[in-house]
Amino acid sequence: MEIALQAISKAYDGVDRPAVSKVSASIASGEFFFLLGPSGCGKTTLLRLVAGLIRPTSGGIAFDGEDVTELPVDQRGTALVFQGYALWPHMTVLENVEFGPRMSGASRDARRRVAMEQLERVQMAEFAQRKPNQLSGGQQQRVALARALAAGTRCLLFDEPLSNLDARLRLHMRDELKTLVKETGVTAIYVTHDQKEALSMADRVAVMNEGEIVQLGTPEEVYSQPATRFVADFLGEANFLGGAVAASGDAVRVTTTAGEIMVSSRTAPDVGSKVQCCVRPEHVRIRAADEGPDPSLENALEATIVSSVYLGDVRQYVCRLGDGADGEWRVAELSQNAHRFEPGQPVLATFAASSVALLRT
Amino acid sequence: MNYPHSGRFAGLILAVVAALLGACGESPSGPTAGDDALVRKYGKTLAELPEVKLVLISPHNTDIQYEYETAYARYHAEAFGERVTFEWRDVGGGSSSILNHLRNVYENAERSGIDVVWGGGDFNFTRMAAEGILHTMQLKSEVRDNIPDTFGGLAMCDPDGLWCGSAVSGFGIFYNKQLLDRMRLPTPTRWEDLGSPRLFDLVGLADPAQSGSAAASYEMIVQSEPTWQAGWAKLLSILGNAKRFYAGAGDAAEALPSGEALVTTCIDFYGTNRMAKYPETLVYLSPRGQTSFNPDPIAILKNPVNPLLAQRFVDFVLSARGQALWALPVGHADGPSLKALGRQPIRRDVYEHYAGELLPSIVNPYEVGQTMEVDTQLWNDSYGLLRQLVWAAAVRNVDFLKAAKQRLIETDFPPERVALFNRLPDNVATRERVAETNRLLADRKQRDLIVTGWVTFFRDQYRQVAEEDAT
Amino acid sequence: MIRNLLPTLASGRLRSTFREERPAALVAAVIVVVITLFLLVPIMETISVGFYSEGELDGYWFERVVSNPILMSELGNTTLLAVITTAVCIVIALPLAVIRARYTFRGINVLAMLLLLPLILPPFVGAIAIKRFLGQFGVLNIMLEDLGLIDMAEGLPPDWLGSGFTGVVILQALHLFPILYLNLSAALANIDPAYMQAARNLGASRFQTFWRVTLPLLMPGLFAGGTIVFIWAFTDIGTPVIVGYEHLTPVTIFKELATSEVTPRTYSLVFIMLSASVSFYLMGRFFLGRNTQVGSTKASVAAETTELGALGTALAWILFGGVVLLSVLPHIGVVLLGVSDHWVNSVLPQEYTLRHLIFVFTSPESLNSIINSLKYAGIATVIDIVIGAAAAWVIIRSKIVGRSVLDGLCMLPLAVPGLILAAGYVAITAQGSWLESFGPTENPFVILVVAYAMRRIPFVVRGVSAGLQQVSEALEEAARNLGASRLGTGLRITAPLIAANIIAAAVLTFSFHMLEVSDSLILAQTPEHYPITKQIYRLATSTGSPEAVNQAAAMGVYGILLLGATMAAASLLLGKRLGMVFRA
Repeated sequence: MEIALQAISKAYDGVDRPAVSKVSASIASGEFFFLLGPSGCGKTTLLRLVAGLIRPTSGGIAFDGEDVTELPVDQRGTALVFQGYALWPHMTVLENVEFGPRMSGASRDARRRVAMEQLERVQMAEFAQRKPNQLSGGQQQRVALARALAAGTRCLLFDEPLSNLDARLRLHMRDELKTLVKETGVTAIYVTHDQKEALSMADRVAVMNEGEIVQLGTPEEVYSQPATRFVADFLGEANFLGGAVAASGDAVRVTTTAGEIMVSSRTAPDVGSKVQCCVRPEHVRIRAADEGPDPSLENALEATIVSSVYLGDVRQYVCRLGDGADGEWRVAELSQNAHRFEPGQPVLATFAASSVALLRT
Repeated sequence: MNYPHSGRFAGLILAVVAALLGACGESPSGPTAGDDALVRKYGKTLAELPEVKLVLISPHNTDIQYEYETAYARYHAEAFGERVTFEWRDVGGGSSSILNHLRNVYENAERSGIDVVWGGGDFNFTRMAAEGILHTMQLKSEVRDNIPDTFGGLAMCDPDGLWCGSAVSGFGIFYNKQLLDRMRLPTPTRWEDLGSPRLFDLVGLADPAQSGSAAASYEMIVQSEPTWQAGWAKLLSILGNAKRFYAGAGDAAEALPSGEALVTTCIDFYGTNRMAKYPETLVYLSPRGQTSFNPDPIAILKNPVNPLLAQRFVDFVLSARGQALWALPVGHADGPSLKALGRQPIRRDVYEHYAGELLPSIVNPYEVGQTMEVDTQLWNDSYGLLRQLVWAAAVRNVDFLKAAKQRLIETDFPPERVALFNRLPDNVATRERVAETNRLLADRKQRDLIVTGWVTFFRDQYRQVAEEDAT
Repeated sequence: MIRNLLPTLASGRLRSTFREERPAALVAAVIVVVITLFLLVPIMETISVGFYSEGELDGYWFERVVSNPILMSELGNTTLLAVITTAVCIVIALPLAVIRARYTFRGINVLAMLLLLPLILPPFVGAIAIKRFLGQFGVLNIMLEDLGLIDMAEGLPPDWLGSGFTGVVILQALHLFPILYLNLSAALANIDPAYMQAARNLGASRFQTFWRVTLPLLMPGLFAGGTIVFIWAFTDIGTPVIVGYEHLTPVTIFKELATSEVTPRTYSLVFIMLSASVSFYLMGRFFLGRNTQVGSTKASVAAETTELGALGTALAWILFGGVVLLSVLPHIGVVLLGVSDHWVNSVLPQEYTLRHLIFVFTSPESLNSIINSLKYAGIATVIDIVIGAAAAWVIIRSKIVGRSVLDGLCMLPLAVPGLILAAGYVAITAQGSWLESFGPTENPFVILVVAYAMRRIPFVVRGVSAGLQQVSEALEEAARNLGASRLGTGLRITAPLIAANIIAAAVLTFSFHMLEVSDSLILAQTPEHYPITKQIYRLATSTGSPEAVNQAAAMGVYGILLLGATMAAASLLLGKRLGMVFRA
């Protein structure tokens, strides 16, 4: 099922800033689509708008080209997996899972068959007669998933479904969920604030902030080519350096206070315009100043080591660029690298032109 | 919480409720006695006779209602071949509430849907007659011959036939003899005994603003003295002994068996009925020559639904047989079927006709020396006023009154302080002023100003009496 | 990619939140209309009398009241009484609730259930029973004399009832403390024990923990219950009349209304009294109990209760048992009256009989009144549940503007004495009005049921609200999302989850309906429509027959049995959460 959001907004009475502001997006059939953002960014509101639990202040929603904006929640045909699972405590696991088919008028046998099928799929068939409060968190999560799947929907919605699980289980469930969604072939929208979850599972990610989609793209795109400083920050650590475009075209050159930076940008910014260069810590290699630049990496900036912290797999350095006016960069070097730099040591921060993202300012 | 259990419980409750609602469908079945005579005369049983309905409003208790209902229904069926059903209206409260209610009704409409108003003191009936909400009754000559127009100075029957007494009530003293003896207190026999310092804080009294019978008894206490001032002083000495002021005369009577008070004043049959149950413990006595007998009237209301039936019922109540029902014991052919009512018939001839058969507590008010002669003029001038005055001086100020009286007892009644205690407000200081003020009370703004003034007057006065250096 | 799939969508279409909340707004509107028609209009009808003089709108009578120092001092007196009674209730209820929350001991469940009995004392006969015990020549003093502690021959025995103000406070407190006890128990059960454990861990003594942590957290419960007790005491007529302490505004109103010469002044006084009780209610709500809606905090750790040893159990029994015994004395008295044949000047009846108990079932009027009451109370309870649950749903679940106003409106009946409401119903159904056929003289069925229902809406709203607050909204959304309609969701998901709350609220409401006095006395005027309370009143004040009081008491006995059973059921269902119903 294709889902289209057109300039959709949701404002609450007495709140100045709209919770969702003119969001447009198209989600392809079978796509695993992620809404990623910090709490309060409007991602859950957007999900609830899609489900029809709330109605937009303006804008529209279409499923397969059909306007469903006015369709009440019970006729939308989406299936939502709630953050706290929302399993009904007065029903057994089986009754919970049977609920969707029952609502669509399935016969007793049919709904039992569907429910058991889905329970088996999530390996919960043996718990069918239990009450939800007799299950562990992970088991409840599976039942919630089975309940959503049993509804026979073509659109699965997930509202931070893994946030109540412990770290190990969460990792495990990520893979399982992705497999399951892909197996069933339904369109799925998944809300999360965990960028690792989004990057590892999504077909595409919409990064949201303050009610708007800031960037929409594949995990690789949003991670390595963040459109704004917010996206860059939210999707992990990033180093920034402001400057002005000195040359544009195939090879873009940016002049900064710490030196000139070569950027292989897809777009050609105007010469003279102000930009931010963004480089991920793991894309920076540190070399001793006396070693000279690495010929394979286009950029090399002079820097001084400020601190060095051992983190197991990596060693994290903080270094000051140039005379220090441009702030500090974080650099992660694999710990087994031969060199170890000491604070105060002058170094070169080197990185490839392709690893630099140009941000709008 | 265990959800399935609550569900099962809900089912249980539903089942119970359903069962109860089912039970509501069954209505209680009526009495079916005396069918033989009816079948002989009309060829029908009582249940088959055409139904007529009599609507009454009355403060009378359920025993009275039941006995008259039963007796009249039987009489009416035999005499007229109809089945009478009774509807007794209750507007919550005593005779005052009834008067209020009827006034309200007739202020807004021409008819009330009620046929007969019965009981509650002649004062209210005089008011209703004056306000034109009563229907003229046709009283038989044998009735008029046996009910005096006035007795002991009180009107027994309205000259225009708007109302007529159906019984008389005397007032008396009711006390717990056993406890009075145990406490070595004197047993009262006269009104003034109730004002004795030894009975301070022991007398249960009723609020005259709410109880017409209590108001009548206070009027009699006042009139048992030669002057208005002396009468008021006597009444105030009794009021000052009040333990409490009860809402109704019945509450005051019930205060005795419940152990709240040792002595009360009450209507004769309240006392005699209880005395019959506890003969060793409780005593009712009528202070000989100090009480008059008040009519307890019956009347037909303006624009009755069924004037003929209303008239027939009134005729029955005032007939010798209807009168005897008040005073005969259970088991007598003309007597009540379940409970003796123990009230005084108003018809003179009944006392002679059933002499020796009446309940022992029934006294003949027409016997010489029994009844006090009431000053009708003073009665008319002061009855309404006295209710308000006692309310202001005693009911509304009971704590202050008691404090003042206690102070008088402690200081052995210094004459000046007693005089202060007994002092009346200027507008009721003399008989003439009483009559004048009584007329003003008809206007409600005036009444409010006057009564509010009294409350303040007496409160200040009692405070002065209770203060150490008041003399 | 698929941007063009949306040609039909007119972008920027405006929709207000009102549309989204349309069902809630509709329900709220219906409730507001119902409350306006059946509560506000009758009240206005009553108090407007006080503002007319000679047919013209006029402040004359109002001024007469305000300028009357006696009436004004009585208003002050009434306020003082309510304050002190509330304080005494707290003093009684707090230790009981804390002990109940902290300790377990043998029989605590039975004792805790008996603590609810004071709430279901039948009217009139309860008062008569109290007088029997505490009258100057009543059971207590006769007992004291039998024990040789006093000698009536030597002097007057103490008059326990004549204690005036103090007597009113004690009797009111013994009657009303269960409301606070229930509230405090509910509040204690809702406080996460981790808060207390944290305080103890940081070195606070038990007392310091209670004083600095538990008590502040209890405040919302205390205020919510306290407001109800306060208003109850403020508008109480029965207790002061029993004790004979009459310097109180409601008693003055009651007495003035009972006289034959009612002036508009009385209705002006009614207005002032009503304004005062509503103001106190609003003050309690907005200043004191600002955070009453804190609701439940999820317990992160299990509460620890200590099992009391033999000595502790004995002490707890003395405390609980003492309070229970004192507060159920009237009930015992009613039962004794109901089975006594001869009872005068003695501690216990001299002779017993079952005659009165049997009488109730052989007297068509008495039996009929019980059936009437079950009918009125049952239907009124259903109405309350429907309105109350709908209101609670709007208040808790919707986001419509003005839902706090709706909440206030639903709580308003708490501050309206039944007497005033009943007088209003009489006024609007007066003869000649188009509502005449619903009036007390025709068939009061409708107005009785409606008056009953209006008076107790607050309890249902609170009871159901408490339940809704505990049910996560996501549970309902999940059902909606899976295709259940609003109604289906309500019936399949919400109702089963808050069933205990609904049933408990229904049971309590039902009990109060059965015990409703002022409406019943004034609005039922024909015997075939008498409810049980009016029949008890008729019998209890039936002056002619000395046995009528016993017959009235016998009816009271059945009342106690029936309502006691329903109360016990409610308490079993909701346990400590029963208190959620009695919140302002």
